[in-house]
Amino acid sequence: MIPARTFHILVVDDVVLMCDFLFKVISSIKNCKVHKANDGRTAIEILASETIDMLITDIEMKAPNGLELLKRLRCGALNSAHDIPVLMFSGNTYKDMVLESLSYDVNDFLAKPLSADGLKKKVLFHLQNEKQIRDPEYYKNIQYVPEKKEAKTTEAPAHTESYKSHVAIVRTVPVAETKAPLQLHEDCSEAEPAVLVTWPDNSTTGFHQLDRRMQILAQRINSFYNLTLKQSKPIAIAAELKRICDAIDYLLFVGKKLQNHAYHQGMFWTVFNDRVAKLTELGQSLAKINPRYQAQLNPHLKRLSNWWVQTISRPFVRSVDESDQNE
Amino acid sequence: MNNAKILIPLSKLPLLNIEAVSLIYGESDPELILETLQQFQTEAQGYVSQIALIWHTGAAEDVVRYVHSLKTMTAMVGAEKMSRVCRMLERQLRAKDVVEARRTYGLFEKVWLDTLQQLDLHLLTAQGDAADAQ
Repeated sequence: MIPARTFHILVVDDVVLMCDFLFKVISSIKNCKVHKANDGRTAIEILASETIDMLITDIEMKAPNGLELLKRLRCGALNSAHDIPVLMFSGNTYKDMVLESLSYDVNDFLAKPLSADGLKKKVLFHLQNEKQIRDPEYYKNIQYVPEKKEAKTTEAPAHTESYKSHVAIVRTVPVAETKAPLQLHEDCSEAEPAVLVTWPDNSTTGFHQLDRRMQILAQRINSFYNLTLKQSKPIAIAAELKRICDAIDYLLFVGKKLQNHAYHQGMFWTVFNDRVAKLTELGQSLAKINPRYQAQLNPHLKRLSNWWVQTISRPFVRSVDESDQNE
Repeated sequence: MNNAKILIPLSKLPLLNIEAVSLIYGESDPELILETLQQFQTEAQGYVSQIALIWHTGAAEDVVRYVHSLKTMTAMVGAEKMSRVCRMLERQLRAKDVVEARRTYGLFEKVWLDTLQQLDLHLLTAQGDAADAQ
């Protein structure tokens, strides 16, 4: 099956011959655009400047090597989506590195020497079959401890005879997390949600309908902001983005209706239309976001926040006391 | 497949098995093979020179990395003997078996020269064939 949109694939190998091989073979897959990097540093630059959909890297390279790249990507330390598929070349020589990369949810290993057919199949498979990747926080807390080093400090497992693993993956649980009661759903969290935008107390636009729509928009923006902070699943972020777009549409609709009835407040509507024009543009831009890419979300959050700060001021909003209440 | 090949003595392994390129790419375009071999020649020579340069400086990690890369590219073009020697050398260097690694390095230099000679011969023949075809 052929991918339906253009996928950007980054191949990283310090052996130019291998890098060119990967480039040629993957470029022959329809709708795949391939980027090449001969070292980890170039790879990081490309990850930051392009929207990469898949990373294929050798493990052994001059620092940062393939494992370092995987770690930084999964921890959200690179300016790229942390949950893109990552395929790595492996070899028995790097058994420890292979085992460690498994703890960072590497999607697959490619055994050298590769064949063009095998490579194409792997790439297509991973473009079409998403693997559940956890939040960056999870990967930040991973500590890799080779078993032989750990043996002195930890008790042997009860099933010693059949215990063949050479690694132990330890997740450091933050203190707060250990004390907190078990929470089954994200929504049950007792933590105060973060606030990006607020509707000032005792303020009004002069139209209660507009006030209400603005307050709903603020709630939606804050909810979206919290989802990005928690690095929630793309599906949840996509749903919230849709709600923001709906809230914007509704605000515009209500504003238009009111304008027909209260056209005498010329100054107010001039400001309103100016702000609305900017919000419309912002809404269109939001609708195009790919929720999988954190790098796309943050600039939009900033723009939303800026729009809000610039809008919640006179003459668009004023104190209730001095309002002449048009309701 | 690879395990079976390990059993073949080094002396019996071919210096250059051009079919490997066709097998990897899944096509036998002579131009592609020629291009790949030329690229290999240039890049591999660079790696061998680097290894020779740093062999005596004790930068073992760098040597291991270069040997590892050389192992990959020799396997890609079917330089089977050289690939095997690289694998031996890499293993010994990782195990810090200096005595064995020094011995293997002598073999490494010799096998590389033989491989290069074979490669030159093949490239000359292939370039001649390409010129005749035009």
